[in-house]
Amino acid sequence: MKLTVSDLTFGYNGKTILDGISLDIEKGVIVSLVGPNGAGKSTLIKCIDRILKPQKGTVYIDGKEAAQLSSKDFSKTMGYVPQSTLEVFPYTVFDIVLMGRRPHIGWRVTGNDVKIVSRTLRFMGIEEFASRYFDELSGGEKQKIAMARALAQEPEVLLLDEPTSNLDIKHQLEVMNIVKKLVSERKISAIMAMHDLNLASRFSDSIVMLKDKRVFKVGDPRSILISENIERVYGVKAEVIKDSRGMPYIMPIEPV
Amino acid sequence: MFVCLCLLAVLSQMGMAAASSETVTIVDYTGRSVEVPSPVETMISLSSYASEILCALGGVDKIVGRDSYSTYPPSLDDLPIVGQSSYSPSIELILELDPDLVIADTMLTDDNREKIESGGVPVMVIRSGDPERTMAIIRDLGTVLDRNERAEELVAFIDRYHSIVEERTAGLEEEDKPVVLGEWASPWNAATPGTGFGDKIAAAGGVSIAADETPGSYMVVSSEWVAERNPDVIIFQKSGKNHTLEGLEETRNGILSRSGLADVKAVKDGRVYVVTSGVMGGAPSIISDLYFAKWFHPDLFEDIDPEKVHEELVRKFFDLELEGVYVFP
Amino acid sequence: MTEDEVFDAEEVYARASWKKTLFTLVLFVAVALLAVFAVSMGAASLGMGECFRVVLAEFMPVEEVSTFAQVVVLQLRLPRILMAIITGISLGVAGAVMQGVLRNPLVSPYTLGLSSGAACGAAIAIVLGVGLLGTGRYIIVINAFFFSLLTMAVVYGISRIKGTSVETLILAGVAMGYLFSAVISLLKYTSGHEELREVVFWLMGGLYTARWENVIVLIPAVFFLTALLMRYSWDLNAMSAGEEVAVSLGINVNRVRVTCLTLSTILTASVIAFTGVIGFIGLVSPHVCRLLIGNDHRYLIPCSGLVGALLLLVSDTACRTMISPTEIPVGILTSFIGVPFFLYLLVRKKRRWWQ
Repeated sequence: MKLTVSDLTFGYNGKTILDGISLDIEKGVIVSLVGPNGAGKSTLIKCIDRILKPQKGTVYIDGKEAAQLSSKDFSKTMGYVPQSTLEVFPYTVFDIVLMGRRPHIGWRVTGNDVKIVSRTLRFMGIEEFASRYFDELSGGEKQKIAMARALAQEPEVLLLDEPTSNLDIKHQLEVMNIVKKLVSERKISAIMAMHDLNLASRFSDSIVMLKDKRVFKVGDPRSILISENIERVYGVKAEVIKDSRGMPYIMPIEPV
Repeated sequence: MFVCLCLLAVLSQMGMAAASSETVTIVDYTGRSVEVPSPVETMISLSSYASEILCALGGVDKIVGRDSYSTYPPSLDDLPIVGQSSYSPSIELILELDPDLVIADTMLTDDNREKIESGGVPVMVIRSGDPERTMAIIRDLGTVLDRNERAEELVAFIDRYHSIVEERTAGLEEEDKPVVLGEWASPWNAATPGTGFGDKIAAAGGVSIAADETPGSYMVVSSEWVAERNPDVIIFQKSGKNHTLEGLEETRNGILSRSGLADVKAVKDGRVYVVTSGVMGGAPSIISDLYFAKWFHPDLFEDIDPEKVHEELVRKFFDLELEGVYVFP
Repeated sequence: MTEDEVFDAEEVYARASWKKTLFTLVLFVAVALLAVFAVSMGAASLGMGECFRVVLAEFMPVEEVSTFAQVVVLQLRLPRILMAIITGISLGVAGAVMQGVLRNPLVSPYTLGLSSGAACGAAIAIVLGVGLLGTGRYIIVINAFFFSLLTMAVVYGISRIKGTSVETLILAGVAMGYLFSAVISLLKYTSGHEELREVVFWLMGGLYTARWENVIVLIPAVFFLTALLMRYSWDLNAMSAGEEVAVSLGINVNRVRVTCLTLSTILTASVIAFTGVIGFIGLVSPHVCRLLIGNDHRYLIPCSGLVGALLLLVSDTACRTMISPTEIPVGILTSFIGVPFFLYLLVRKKRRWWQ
């Protein structure tokens, strides 16, 4: 399933955040959106997922306008994992992931829905938490649960808003590996707003650099993550070395 | 399940046959014609005024239940209480006692009235605190008890003094009538004409301070308003029971020293009086009429001693000695 | 993983669901039993057997029952018990839905100003004698009802202008509550003696005006509205994760909010128009249920209603029998029970539901 963003513009209160963003995302790739704070990474994700309504521009799914789809059909296509999860009321893990089935459920929860949730929990490695209450768990586990919920939607595209920002290194790697596994096994696409350039470098197929409300550069990590680009986009002098697999590793030196 | 509930509702609406025997029809304060069995054997009174009159007419033996305010005369004490007042009767207890008649005052809600009546018990509503109607109420209750003679005696007693007041104040000019501030229950709560209190003032040859205002209820006034009108007399009606001399004196002193009243004629002349609800309504309401008349026109009523009249009333109709204080000074 | 190490999430879920269903059934039975028990309680001394015979007599020929027993059971007690159940259900359901829609456990029909609106409408009818429609005693009821709806409309209107965030809604509701309280105070101050008493009684809430003709209309209305609201159970579940996630799950958050708030407003307004202000039921019932069965609205909504019915029925029965023949207005008792219970919940809470 091919996702195309065409000339997307979004702003509020007279301030423009995104100005004419255009992107093409193929099936089965991991794309990272990178850029400094306020560059609009999260905003772009939310515009794609119809959480925010852009003033201009269109999102196409397989050539058809995404806005034409009903909300139910749309949420069967795209899953969203927010940056942080806040549950005000007590729910068990199973219940929360079950909510991801909402686009598919009428009133009754079918055996199929339960099976899918169960399988998703197993896939994410958190099946043992099924009957635990959400707020008893750690940040890393909560993030996985949020992902499981998005997966239960059985989407073709997974949108992740800074999935690793609040996690320790172990959970960061676990989450990223799951994304990689998902993309290769189920052929879904993943679009991630990434804070951490090195994780983006290591796990993405394609990097999109956002600067000054526009797309600065698009390409694979090796060609995009070079010191000139990092200086232009982040305003930081950085040294880029190659890690053991030949992927760029960025070491920031000093602000410009 | 829902059908069952509907059935229940419908079936329970079907009335129960009323007992038929000798009855007498009385039109009560709400204008309804109430069919009362005659003579009444048992009744419940939810009005302290009615209770008092019933006892005065010798019907205390027929009362099987009362409200919590019906405490005078003391012979009522042992009767079971079936509700705090006419506003909150216990319908279940009333129906359980199965009286021939329930007498209540205007605080009885239509809802509750219907509930009692649907249990086969007639309800008669009286308006207490209205001196005009007191005679009618006495006569009606006399009919209910089949003690019409006694009722006429009471009426005559009251009427006698009523006429005295009326005659002697008939020829008064407006200038001779004192301006009276009647306060009920709390300071600055002034009585207008149309309220029982306001009418009493007028009947006793006085002019209510609020005579020009909208009649019919009590209005809260400010001290400047009162100072402007400079009343000649202030009467404060205190609610509650079992007043003591000291208590009433304290109330009067409170008025005399109340800020805002210091320059008012009534305070300067010392014509400030405290009266209690015990003599403001029902059978003894004539007593407060006499007190008012004496306070407004002491020269015209020198020969009348309201306290003695009160004693006579209590002795003749209640077979008791006058106890307690009702006015001050 | 070996056979016995496999963690069967499906089985766990099935068991949890069964537990919740069982709980709902238990509540239902409890309410029914309590109702039966309450029929025999009252100032008049009627035995339980006699009370049953009265009810049975309506459906089949049974030995003679006194007219007195008939009137007491069928006209006085039964409509009132049913009214308590219906009102409890309404308030419990509305409370659960409002808390879910607004993602705030402190919300109730009271906090959003609905009760104050209804009280103001009733006070206007009582003191000024003016009403929107109707005659006689129904002026008060209809006024109360419409003022409740008006309050919700204003609150929602404000939030549309300022942005439909939850905080705006709650703040607007609180503000309206204060406004109406002020109006009521003014009316009380300027009213005559009898009207004042009636307003005060209305504000304390009471079920003694329950009549068959009202109950018969309210029962289907309440069930209908509850059923409508239960259809939003899944949406409410999903909304608890926040607006963004809810939208991404395909929920029209705005529409769900408006619809649910409107329906629960109508539900609340319908009953408090008759009963006056009864506090805490709408706040406490959902919390009690959450402690026991969690927040799945498919179960929370009906259970909250049933718990509300239980609480109110117990309170009302106590109110009319504790110091007979005096009756305590039920709103007073629910506050007295509700506050310590609420404080206990706050102190004891093991799960931090709001950060």
